[in-house]
Amino acid sequence: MGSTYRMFRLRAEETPPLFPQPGPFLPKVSKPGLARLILKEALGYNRKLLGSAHREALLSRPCIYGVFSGPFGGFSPRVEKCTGCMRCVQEHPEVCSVVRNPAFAEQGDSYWTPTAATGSTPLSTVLYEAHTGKVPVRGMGYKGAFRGEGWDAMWTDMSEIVRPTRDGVYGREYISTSVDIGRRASHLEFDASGDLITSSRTVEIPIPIIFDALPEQVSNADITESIRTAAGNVGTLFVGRYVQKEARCIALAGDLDSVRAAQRCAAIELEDAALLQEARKLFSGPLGVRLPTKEGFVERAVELSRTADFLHLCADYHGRTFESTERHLKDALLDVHQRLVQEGIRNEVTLIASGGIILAEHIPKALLCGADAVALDTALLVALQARFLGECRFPERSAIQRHRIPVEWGTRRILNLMTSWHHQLIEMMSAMGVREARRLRGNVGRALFADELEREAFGDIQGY
Amino acid sequence: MAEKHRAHIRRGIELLPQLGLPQDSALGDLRWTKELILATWWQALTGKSPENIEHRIGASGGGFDRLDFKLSSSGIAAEQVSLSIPLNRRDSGQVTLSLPWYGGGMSLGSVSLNFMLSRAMAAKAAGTLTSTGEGGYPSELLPYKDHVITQVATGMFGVSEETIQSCRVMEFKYAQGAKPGLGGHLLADKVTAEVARMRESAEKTSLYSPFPFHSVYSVEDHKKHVDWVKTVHPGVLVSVKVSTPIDVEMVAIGSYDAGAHIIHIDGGYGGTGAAPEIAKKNIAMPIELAIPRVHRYLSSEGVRDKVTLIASGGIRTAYDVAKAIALGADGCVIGTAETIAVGCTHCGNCERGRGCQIGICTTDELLGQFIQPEWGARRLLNLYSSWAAQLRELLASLGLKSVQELRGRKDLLVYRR
Repeated sequence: MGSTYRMFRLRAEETPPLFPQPGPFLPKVSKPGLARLILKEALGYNRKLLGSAHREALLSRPCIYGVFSGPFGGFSPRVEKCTGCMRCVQEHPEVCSVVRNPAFAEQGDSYWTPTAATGSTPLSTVLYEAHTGKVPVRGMGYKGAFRGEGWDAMWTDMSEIVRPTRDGVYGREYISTSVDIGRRASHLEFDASGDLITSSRTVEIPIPIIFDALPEQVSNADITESIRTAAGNVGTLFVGRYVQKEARCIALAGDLDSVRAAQRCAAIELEDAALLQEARKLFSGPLGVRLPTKEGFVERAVELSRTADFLHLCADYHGRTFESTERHLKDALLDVHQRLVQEGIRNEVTLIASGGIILAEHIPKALLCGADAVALDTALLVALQARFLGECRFPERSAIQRHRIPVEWGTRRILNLMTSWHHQLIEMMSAMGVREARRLRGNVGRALFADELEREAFGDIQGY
Repeated sequence: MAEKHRAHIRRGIELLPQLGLPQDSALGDLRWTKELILATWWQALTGKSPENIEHRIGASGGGFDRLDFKLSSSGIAAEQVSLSIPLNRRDSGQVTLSLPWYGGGMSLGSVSLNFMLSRAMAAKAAGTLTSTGEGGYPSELLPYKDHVITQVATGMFGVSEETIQSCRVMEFKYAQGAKPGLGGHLLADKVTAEVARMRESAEKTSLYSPFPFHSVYSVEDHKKHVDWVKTVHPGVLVSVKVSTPIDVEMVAIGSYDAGAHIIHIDGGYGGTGAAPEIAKKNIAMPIELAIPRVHRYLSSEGVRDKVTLIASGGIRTAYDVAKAIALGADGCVIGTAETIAVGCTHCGNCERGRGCQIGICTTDELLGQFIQPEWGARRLLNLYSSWAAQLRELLASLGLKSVQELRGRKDLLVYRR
């Protein structure tokens, strides 16, 4: 019997942006200063100009990235080539300067571009990943804040010695990123003739990432189609309405008619938990409930977990809960996961988390805090170069500038993003010594929480 | 051509600390701020701390940037303060450093030979050490061998019995803070004929240091590794360089039990020639949080005075050195501060194309000529000198006669919110 096993791989393909993207740096050259400099150099080399070596030296410019390589050199710098290396400023501080590009800092919103002081932002990172499909690699150490809030208030662990060898380039041991959505049986039962009688209501996806439904005002037909096609190509699921014929879809159902219409879908997510019992009679696959993180959601999660196959815990697009005293999705997840563990029902339900998952690192962190999988929202929009109109925080109150995009281009950009994120997930899992994404769930022993560690390190220091 | 640009770059980094830069200048970031970079250039030029540039803290908003010292006046003169630290606390054969820091591993390939030589010359002149990293031991370093640490890392590049015999300290690199658990990767462009020869590999071929050591899967395996090195070079000190996972203290005690003289912990915000951005920011804890944890555990196990604890991964200033020691380290390893001293702008383009635009992290023939060993060594010595003066003054004002008295004195620190 032939094996159906295959190693999961995504292939990246360079997909340049459709619309211009402002870079982080703006090189500036004083024209009178440059004219003086050229004159001075020409005079200095005057007698030596006959020798080609000197001519080369005279013409050589203080940029190895080609900012001054245009026909007019420094009089018309090629701004887009600037990498912020500052060599021109070092060589000619009176003539050149490189400043931060205000247009770079104005992209996205406060969540996507919190600061431009490090030369990269979540937005520029996702744009790079969607363009290249590569893992962002740079020289020098980390440039950002010591710690932040939410996902930036935790680090992930690593193992010094005993761990699987790295997947991919070194790949000898496969690191699985597959997870299941739905209710798994806790044990198997067989009938008298030895046939399996236990059934599981689960669907397996190759990465712990699905694509969430986007409200109408932050989407359009091209975006929806790109997401749908990309989900199919990755082999994961997207959440959507009016998707009766979609096998790789979680149908978002607000009433029983929608449930009836979604029979071919991989799973159904109910917007109204009150429909659970009736919907169960109509649909035999994984049936879940969308659970916004409003007041009392932890108790509600415990209650629903006894009947629903999966819960989709939603925060806003900035990763904050909808409670009157809002908190981060990380803390909401930790609470729900721990309560389900206390109740002894954690293994019976799948927990999907969404809201502000915008960087590759957020995925293993969400899993360590208790999620089985995450759902993406604005990360997909940014990969497709959607421009936010104001803050894009509350799903129903957010808006984007509408423009057409070729679906093939959009699909490719999302595939690239997933390729990059898959590789980065493997990097982080291999550093932790974890070979299966299912094992990350709630594995807080592999998480380093900044508050606890700071208290331990600095708690006895005056002023802390 | 090299001469023209070299002259301009040198003039520029001499002028810039005095000229200043516009408020919105792209130089610097939250950890290495524009001010810290300019202050480092000033110190490398003059050997003195600048009066009008912030040279003590960055803008990361946490860790060292929140810590300060409770200063008071004491009768101790700065010149009376000793900065020396012993590296061997467990057996005979002492190696004493004149300064409580030494240079971290930077391999030939990741940096130019000229910069390696600058570091070795400075280390010899200052009475401290520098590390070859994992990339072989260029013969040009042999005149400085008493000040050289060589690395045995997972790729085993350029490791031989001869190189092990030509160093004072042998460093086992298990992990690096900037990319914990991920090994290393020298891009094909940087693998010149010389680099390939040193690493016993082929030109223009990407070189991977895998993770972990494929011959070490336990502390017992590590002990066998140490035994091999000690057989080859009986007098060598053994340093174990590890990252900062949640159980870093367990790793430290295991390393000690296996014979280490030096436990070198490299925090998550450490430098590198190339690493995934996701790893730098997210994997393992910053050094400030790991030092007290390891110091406390080694003390509770009763071995703290038998092993030297060295901290690295974000040590930018003399004040960072002092804070790391007050948190529990014996000394520090520095790397990025040295590259900044010779003109690095912390731009992070080390791995891109031809490498560093001013010739530090490059194997490009033209760019590599920008740093000349003597000039580089002078800049590093000036920086060391400025740091040493600042440390002596700080210790004197804390009423301490030796940097060794500062170890673990968290009571002298204050946290500024």
